[in-house]
Amino acid sequence: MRLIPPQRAQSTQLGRALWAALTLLYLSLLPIPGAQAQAVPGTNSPKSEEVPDNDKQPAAKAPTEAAPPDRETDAAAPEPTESAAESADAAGQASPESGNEVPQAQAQAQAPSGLQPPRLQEFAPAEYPPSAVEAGIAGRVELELLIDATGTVTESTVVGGVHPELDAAARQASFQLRFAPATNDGVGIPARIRFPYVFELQTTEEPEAPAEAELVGRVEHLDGDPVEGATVIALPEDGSSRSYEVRSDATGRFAFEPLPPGTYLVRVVADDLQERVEQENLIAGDRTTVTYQLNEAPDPSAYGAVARIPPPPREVTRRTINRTQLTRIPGTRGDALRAVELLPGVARPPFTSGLLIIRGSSPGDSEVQLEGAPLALLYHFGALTSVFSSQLIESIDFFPGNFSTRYGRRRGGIVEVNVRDPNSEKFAGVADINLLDSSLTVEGPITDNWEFAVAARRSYIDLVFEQVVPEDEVGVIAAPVYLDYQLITTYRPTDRDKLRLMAYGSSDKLELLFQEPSDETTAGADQFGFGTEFQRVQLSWYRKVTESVDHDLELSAEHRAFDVALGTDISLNLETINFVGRSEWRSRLNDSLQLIGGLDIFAAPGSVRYKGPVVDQGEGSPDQPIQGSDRTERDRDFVAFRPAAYLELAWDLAPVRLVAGLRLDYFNIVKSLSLDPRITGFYALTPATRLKLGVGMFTQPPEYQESDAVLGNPDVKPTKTLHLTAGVEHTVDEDISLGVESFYKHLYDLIVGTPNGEAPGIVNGGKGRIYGLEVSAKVEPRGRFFGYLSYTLSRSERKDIVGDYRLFDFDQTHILTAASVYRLGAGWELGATFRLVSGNPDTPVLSGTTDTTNDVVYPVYGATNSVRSPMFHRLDVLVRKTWDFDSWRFITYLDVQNIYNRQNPEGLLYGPRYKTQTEVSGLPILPNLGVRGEF
Amino acid sequence: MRTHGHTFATTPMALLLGLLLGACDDDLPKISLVSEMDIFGHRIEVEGDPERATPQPGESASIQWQVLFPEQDSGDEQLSILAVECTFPERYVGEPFCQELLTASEDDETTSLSSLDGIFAGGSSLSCADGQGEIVVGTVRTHCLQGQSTLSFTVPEDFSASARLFTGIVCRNSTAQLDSSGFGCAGNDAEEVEYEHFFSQVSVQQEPSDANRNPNLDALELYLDGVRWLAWDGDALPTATDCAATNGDATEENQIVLAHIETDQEHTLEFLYADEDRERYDDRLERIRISHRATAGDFERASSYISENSDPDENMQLSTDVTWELPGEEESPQIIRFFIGIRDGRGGFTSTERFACRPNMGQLDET
Repeated sequence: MRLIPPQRAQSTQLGRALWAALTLLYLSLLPIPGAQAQAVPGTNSPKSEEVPDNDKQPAAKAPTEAAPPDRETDAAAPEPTESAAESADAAGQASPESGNEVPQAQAQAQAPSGLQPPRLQEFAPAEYPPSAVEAGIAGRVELELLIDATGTVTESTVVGGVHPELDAAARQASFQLRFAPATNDGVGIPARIRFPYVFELQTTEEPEAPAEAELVGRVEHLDGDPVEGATVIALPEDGSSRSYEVRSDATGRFAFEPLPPGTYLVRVVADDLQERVEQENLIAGDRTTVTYQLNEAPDPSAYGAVARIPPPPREVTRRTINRTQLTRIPGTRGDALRAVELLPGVARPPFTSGLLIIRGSSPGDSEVQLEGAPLALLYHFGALTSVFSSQLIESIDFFPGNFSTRYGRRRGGIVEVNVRDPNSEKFAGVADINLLDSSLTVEGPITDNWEFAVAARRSYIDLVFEQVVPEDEVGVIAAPVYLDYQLITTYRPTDRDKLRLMAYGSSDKLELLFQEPSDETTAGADQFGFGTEFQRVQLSWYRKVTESVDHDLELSAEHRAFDVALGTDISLNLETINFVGRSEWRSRLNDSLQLIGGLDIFAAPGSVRYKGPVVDQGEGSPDQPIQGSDRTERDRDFVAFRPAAYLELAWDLAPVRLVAGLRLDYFNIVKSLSLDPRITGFYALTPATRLKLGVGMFTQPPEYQESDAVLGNPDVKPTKTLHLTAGVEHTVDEDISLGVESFYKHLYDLIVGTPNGEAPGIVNGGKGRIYGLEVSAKVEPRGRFFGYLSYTLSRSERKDIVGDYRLFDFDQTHILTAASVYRLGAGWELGATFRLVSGNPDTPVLSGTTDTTNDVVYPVYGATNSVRSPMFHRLDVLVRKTWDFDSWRFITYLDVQNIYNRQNPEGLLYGPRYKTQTEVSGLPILPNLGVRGEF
Repeated sequence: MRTHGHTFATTPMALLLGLLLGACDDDLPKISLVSEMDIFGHRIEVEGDPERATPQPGESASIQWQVLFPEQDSGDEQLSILAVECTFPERYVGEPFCQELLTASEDDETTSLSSLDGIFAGGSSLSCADGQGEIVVGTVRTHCLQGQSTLSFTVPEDFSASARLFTGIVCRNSTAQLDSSGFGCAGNDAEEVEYEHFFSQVSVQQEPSDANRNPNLDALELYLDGVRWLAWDGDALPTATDCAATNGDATEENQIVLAHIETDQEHTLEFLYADEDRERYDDRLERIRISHRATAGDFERASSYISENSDPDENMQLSTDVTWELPGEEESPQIIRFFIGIRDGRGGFTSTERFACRPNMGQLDET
């Protein structure tokens, strides 16, 4: 809901004027064949209207005359009809948008013999711009309309203007005119006619009426699409029994007749949508402009014309961020996927690494999937921007543990990105420009059952990078640049089928030459190159097989390439063609039983070329100098084939619900078969309170390099984790939900390094244990406010081959996150995100050891992760202002990360020989200003 | 390579971050500044063939650790070195350790590898104060050096691995020792004790093709701001008197021995290396790296690679250069020493030294 003060009206008019000017500029660049020939001097010259300066009652009228026919198109001139005027009157009175006196309209035309001119059937009044009213501007705007064979106005050109605002208003309204088309022997033909709009200010001699308030606005879906026919009822809270009621038009707009000032309870009701009730305070003399967004009615089984059987809740913990929240969370730069970092159980990644650390699991143990296919990369470099347009995301589901058997090959958590269907009702788009990148999204219907969306983004860091980086320190061979694109098309051949084809990809490239590399990396490490890209084509087919059986099919092919090089001695090139296929059937066996079965196939022929230090265990292994380390090289082709099948049975025995699943995986490279049973249970204590419990096994194959005979150890096997989760969730009302969850994970067969890296280097000898508690509260975005509050208390430990349990690299004991967004009104929105997180563990350096062969000093470490960095805290603030115009919306935003410039310690940087040290701080204050246009 | 979370993908950004942070560590002293005792490198000389750095099994050789001191009057006589000689490991991560030790601990998951107890009988300790003695266990032996930095050793006849490892400690103003807690230095005045852990790899020539010779010092030419900078040829190190006796002007041959430098001014050191002096191995040419240190001022980096020759058939002088600057406000010795080391990337090492006089030193001395 937005409350818009009087100045909003001016902004709106400015926007309209700007839009009209742009439109005119555009039109002026287009050739208009025969424009001169169409003008008939004297026939329709505009009449000047004498308008008293003190007029306060504006009216936009239809003309009493129409233009002669367009001779070049052989169309007939319009004929004056009574019905046209009547229709115009009716249309004007019914217009919810005008808010003004009912306009009058008449059309006049002359028809040559044998041809029938177009006849006005439905008049569309033009809105009298308030600024023009105040300025006393009136007059007659002459338009030239092209009416196609169906009677629709397809072109409208101002041929006799009065004032840009009036011209624009007239032209805009003209597209809503409805005509009976011109005919030739009964066959509809295109015609071009003149059509004037008269704006006149009428003198009112009535005594000044008591001040009244206006309430106008728009009803829309969560995605911004208009809701037509919604009933908006205003009930005064003064104890009177009177009520006021209007309905929204095709654009979702509504306007009450002037109302007595006071407080009203406003109810918004629409078919298939949840009712919404708001309180509005209407002030005398003010126009209150509001936007009501309505949620879908609680029937998630349907989209479009296809009824869909909802899968049962399969997971103990499922956190969903929907579209209305995704791009509005402070500190994310409006990036949907960045919002995941703020959810309960997600640890703070160090610096801008973008690592996804879920409930104490290693980043590589979790996965982001986009409609069932794993994403190669979550963020572009710097982790400020994700690789998929937030505008095309419907929602994000987050499963921090005990996830369904639908997901496999990972032991940590899953983030599922759900892509929305393109707009099927109108063409729409979003253009976003900010300090880092620009993006454009366009979408719309192609036919009644076929729509499309395209989006692209490119950074322009490269354009300023060379100016920013000191030439004497860093030579830029290839400036950092990232780009991504998405193409989505959805087709519904029948009521039972929906097909979606997506093509999307991303590219990041960077190549630098360091003139002064750090001392530890001097030799051969003066040049750094990095490039990663993926291109994927993905086909989805949903089919409602029978009333009780659904089928989903996902097929995708992806080219994925990853390159990194440091100097000439260290390089990695990994290239794969990934094929992912998933077929899932969901069947409701009876009222209480539901069966889900699926096949999940992953195949990836690829190659790896590596030159550099030997592969280490990674987690729990402190950094070592690259130079001088034991080296290895590998050039290998491989084919990874990982088929899987899963089965789930959901059994509803109110108040108990059980979901039992089994997943079978095969990993060809390590020749290993795994069978993972998983079970979750729910118990409804009350309609608003539910207990839940989950236990399950999760298996993850080794990475390519880990199971490679040269880089790693071909004898390593998949790693395992047992998940246990228990919790309770409570819904206070529809808007507020609370939850408490405890979790425990037992990790075993972890791949860890051998002591001092002796052969074979890595083995399945590690263990781990993770346990914790999450408390969360969430306020849904139904009113002015939405927000999250969560606290996680956890401990994550690992045990290597040697030694006792130690802290995990990113163990964060306390994670407190509070994020909220508040709509101030008048298009203003203010949000803030605060995080208070324990510092990451660190391994102290005791001294250094000089490698006299290679002129390198190695650190001598103390106990692994035995010290911890200080507490991290940061406040991000987002201020957003939206201007709503008739057909588009303009948004400007300022997202400031770390607004109080906290110098958060991220670790220690050591001097030569490791005898001196200095603290390294994370990101300083980082403002990002952007503008966005949505139409 | 570290693969955090078992994936390659997160590594490059960590590398980049490391490089960027490394480039921003202005608050930390640079490794190119000799502000305390520093082990610059080691040179192997096979007995009877001193230019060869790769002894064969059964051959004797010497290993000399070149230790640098910030003070002009310091020398090896202040040193106590204890080194363990053993087999270089077949595979290692980080700091290499004796292969024998790894083998000994294979069946014992709880053995701490930070201790040498696995080799030496529990509770044993060794102090170089006890003399030049040594302990030998199989192919592992200890060496003590007092007041010197050169050690003679013999590669065992039956040695079949690719390299020997020397790992130990260099102590200054104290005595090196080894016990169950590892290497250490024992001295009377803790403030005066300086130490440096080290390890050195000595490649063993198992095949003729393994042979490697130390870089040829004559192949190197050094220029300071375009003037050829020659080594000091006096019997003793130069003194302030020597600086006062010169003005820093180049000779007619465009040469200089004692350079006179300006503060707050960037000086360029250019290194030329004769391409024909690079050895060929495994169908590759050696890649020469120049390490540079100074007792004052800032080098822009600690080492530089000699450029590659685009036409291997054409013998030419390969080059690299590095800038050095002496901040005016910095307290510096009267005579600044520059240490230049040449490494061939295969264990060969040769070093040389240059001297420069601090600005206005001549006038100061005269007054």
